[in-house]
Amino acid sequence: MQAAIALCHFCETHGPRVVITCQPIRDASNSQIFPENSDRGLHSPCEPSTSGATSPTEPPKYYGDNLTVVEDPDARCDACTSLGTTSYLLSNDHLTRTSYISSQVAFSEIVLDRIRTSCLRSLSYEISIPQLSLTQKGPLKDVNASSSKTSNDQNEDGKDDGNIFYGDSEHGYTFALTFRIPDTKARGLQRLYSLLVVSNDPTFLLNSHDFFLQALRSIKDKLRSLAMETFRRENQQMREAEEPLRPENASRISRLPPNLISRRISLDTKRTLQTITGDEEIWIRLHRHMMWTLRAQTMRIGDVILEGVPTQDMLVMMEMDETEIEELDLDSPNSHNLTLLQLHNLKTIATTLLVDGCGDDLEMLLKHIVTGGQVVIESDSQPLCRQFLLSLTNLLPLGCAKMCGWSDVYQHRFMVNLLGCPLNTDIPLDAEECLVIRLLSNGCDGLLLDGTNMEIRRRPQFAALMPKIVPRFKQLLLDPEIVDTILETTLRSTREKWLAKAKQFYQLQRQSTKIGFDKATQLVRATPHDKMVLIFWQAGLSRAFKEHVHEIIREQDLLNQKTPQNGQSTAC
Amino acid sequence: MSSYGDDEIDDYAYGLDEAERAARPIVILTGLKRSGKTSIRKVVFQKMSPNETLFEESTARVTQDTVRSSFINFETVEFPGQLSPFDANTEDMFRRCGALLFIIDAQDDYTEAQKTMAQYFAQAYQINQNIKFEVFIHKVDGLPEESKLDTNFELFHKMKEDLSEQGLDKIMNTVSFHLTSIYDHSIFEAFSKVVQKLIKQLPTLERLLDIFNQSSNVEKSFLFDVVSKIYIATDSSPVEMATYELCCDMIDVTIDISAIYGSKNDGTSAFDEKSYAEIRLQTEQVLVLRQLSKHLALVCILRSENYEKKGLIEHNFNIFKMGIEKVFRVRKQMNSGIPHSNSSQVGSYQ
Ligand SMILES: Nc1nc2c(ncn2[C@@H]2O[C@H](COP(=O)(O)OP(=O)(O)OP(=O)(O)O)[C@@H](O)[C@H]2O)c(=O)[nH]1
Ligand SMILES: [Mg+2]
Repeated sequence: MQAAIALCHFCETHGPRVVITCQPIRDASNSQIFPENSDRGLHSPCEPSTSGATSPTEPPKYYGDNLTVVEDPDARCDACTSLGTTSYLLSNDHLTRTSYISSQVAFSEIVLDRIRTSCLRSLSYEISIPQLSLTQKGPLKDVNASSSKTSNDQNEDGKDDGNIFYGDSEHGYTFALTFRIPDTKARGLQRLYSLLVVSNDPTFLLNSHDFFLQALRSIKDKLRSLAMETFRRENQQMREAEEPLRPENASRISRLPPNLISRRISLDTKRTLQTITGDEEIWIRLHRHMMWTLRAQTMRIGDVILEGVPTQDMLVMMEMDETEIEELDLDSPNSHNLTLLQLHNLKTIATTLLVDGCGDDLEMLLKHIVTGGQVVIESDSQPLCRQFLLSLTNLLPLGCAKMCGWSDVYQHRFMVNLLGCPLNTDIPLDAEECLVIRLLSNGCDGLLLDGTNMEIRRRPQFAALMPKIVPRFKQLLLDPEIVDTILETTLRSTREKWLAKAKQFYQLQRQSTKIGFDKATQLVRATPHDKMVLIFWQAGLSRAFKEHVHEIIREQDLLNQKTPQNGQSTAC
Repeated sequence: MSSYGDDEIDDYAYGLDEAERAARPIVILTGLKRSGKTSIRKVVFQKMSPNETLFEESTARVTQDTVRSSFINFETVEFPGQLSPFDANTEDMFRRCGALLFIIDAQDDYTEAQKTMAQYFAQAYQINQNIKFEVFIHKVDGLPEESKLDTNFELFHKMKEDLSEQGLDKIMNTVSFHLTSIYDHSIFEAFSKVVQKLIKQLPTLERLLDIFNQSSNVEKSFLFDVVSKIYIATDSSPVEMATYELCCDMIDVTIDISAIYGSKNDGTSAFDEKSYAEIRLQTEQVLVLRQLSKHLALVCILRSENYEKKGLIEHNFNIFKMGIEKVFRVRKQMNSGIPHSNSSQVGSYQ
């Protein structure tokens, strides 16, 4: 149990009672069968089950080990009863292989015990910090308190209600929110409730303190606003039915003998939460609220593990062959220095092309590379040629750079997009969309491109539509203020930004409900000019990720076939 | 003359030192749900009007309050009727407990209440043998006169049976029964008796009042805590309910008149330690109120022919006041002189 959530009530007849508990049940590879006596329960992704939706012959399935059904240790009346002892609300979350079960009595001795102790504590012993508006001392406070009860509109919490954290290692830790909701038939016209998040792990509760506070408050607000409506309605009815209790007769009432008035105030302390909120589905509503509160936490923590640590480039690198890694110089121990050298060369290329080349040569090269065009370097020096190509790889995600540093024959662009070859290699004229650059060493040796001669020999067809990433790259490369280390970071973050877009694009494109091309482009906040980039850069996504996406979509499709009424989809 | 010693003894030791705080006795209110525990607390100590208690919520929390004025100094703790006060870790509280009140709703069937009460008393006795047990047979306003006494009698005997079954007969000696209602003065009267048992100086105070009565020809005098209308001491002649009610009303009248006609510009009430009032009744009696300190007032009733020698009464009153101040000085000295032995005696107040 990471955490469980419960709603508790101070019952007029029985004292503190746990009304409903929502607990997550995890793991275990095989699904099992629910206890025979359950008449409720259905599995659908994160939708609570209702009794009508599943056939009684097919018992609901859930994750986790066999549940132990625990006897209800408490006497109860309607006010402290929720689903009864034989009904449950179940939601299965297939992503995290977790089932969320809401029940009147928790499914584990330990959980039950912890929650009962905490329930007593939250309602009868713990006091929250007084709210600012109520901190005035002296008789004024009393006047306020009693008047706010009768003028029910604002209906503030009692002065000791609110949120509080308490616990110890023996009984577990609790984050609790106590509050009152209006009820015309209750003593003092209010009833006291509390919402608890119980966990063994205090750090978990404290780290998520604000989140839980917000979540529990929103449940409270919902319950209260529903109850307030009922309260107003019933008050109205009472006024109409009973003449003497009208406000204009108030002065007479105070002089009536007490027995007469108390007979007028008809108490009924055994009303259910359904009655006072006027919502038959209140338990399902609560289950949904509590389940999402727990689930959001699981997903938040899950997210960190799934995406926070390895980037797509890292995953791609793990999936690469030896030879590829060698080709791209990725196995070198001091890769950082190599990258700096490559970036220096990249800047040299950029400035040279800008000065020597005609017009838009630099932009053309950039666009050509990021949209997946082939670049061929003819050169008299193999090492320089290789450096040239390596520096260009910095403009692409790792998975998109298919490089061949030196080859005597031309290779097709589907095999290699960065190709180096000797001077005067035969490049077939029908090799479309190919950018050929001649690189002459001018007597330079070493690994620096300074002083070399670059000449563009063949230009691809060049449309003026620029993907947004091109001007960005150009700006970064030409700005003399940006030193190499900063250039490295900025280039990487630019790459990652666009790779993330490509990733979203990939996911959107593969949903079973088709999303149009333009729509998808718009959803990832790209322009039509960026389309080629988005498509080409999908090659930079890791196989692991792609398989993951496919798997989820397959599972959802299967589910949707089974429960066609359910259109909800969960994105990863 | 009236300000004699006021500075010196710090207005009868209103501020308490820490040692005393630890020694402050606790009055625990128990009883089944809706028996009237909250109503009693609110009516007696917070001046709530009885009808307003109809709108009281059921108490969910263990509620603690401090009641403090010169001689009176204790905490009240109310337990929700649905919980047993012995469930949680409350042993320390019972060690400090001076009086355990059990409130019984006399308008309801009280068999269950009686059973619970016997059980609570027995348990509390195991923890602290000095606790005074007080039974409030409450809401008697709805009962006819003769059944009040029947109820009292019946409860007394059932309790005796129950406790002697457990071999705890001796508890019965410390159990007192009171017939109470928030709709008249009986609740104040009963609470006065409870509180008096917590006041160490009671015998001295009673003696002082006796002397004052004799020498001034006064029929009856009460030493009142003005705010709560609890009397913390009276002379040794028996208390008649009617006399007590008369004195309570006298305090009310005085406070009201001072509030209406005497309020100063700074908003403080004109009712202070120098207040003085007298009311003549058709019955040839005079009611006299003399304020002794911020919280204490002496209210006495005497025949009008005895009130002709005002000077004598004035003189006696001043002597009496000095006597009271002395009692406090002794207490103060005891507290400041040996604070530690005082705090180590937590649990024994008498
Ligand atoms: N007739 C009559 N009614 C009383 C008296 N004292 C209290 N009541 C009524 O009894 C009801 C319950 O009183 P509470 O003071 O709230 O009872 P409680 O013991 O605090 O109840 P819990 O907090 O639930 O344990 C209220 O409606 C009061 O108006 C009394 O002396 N006479
Ligand atoms: Mg109460």
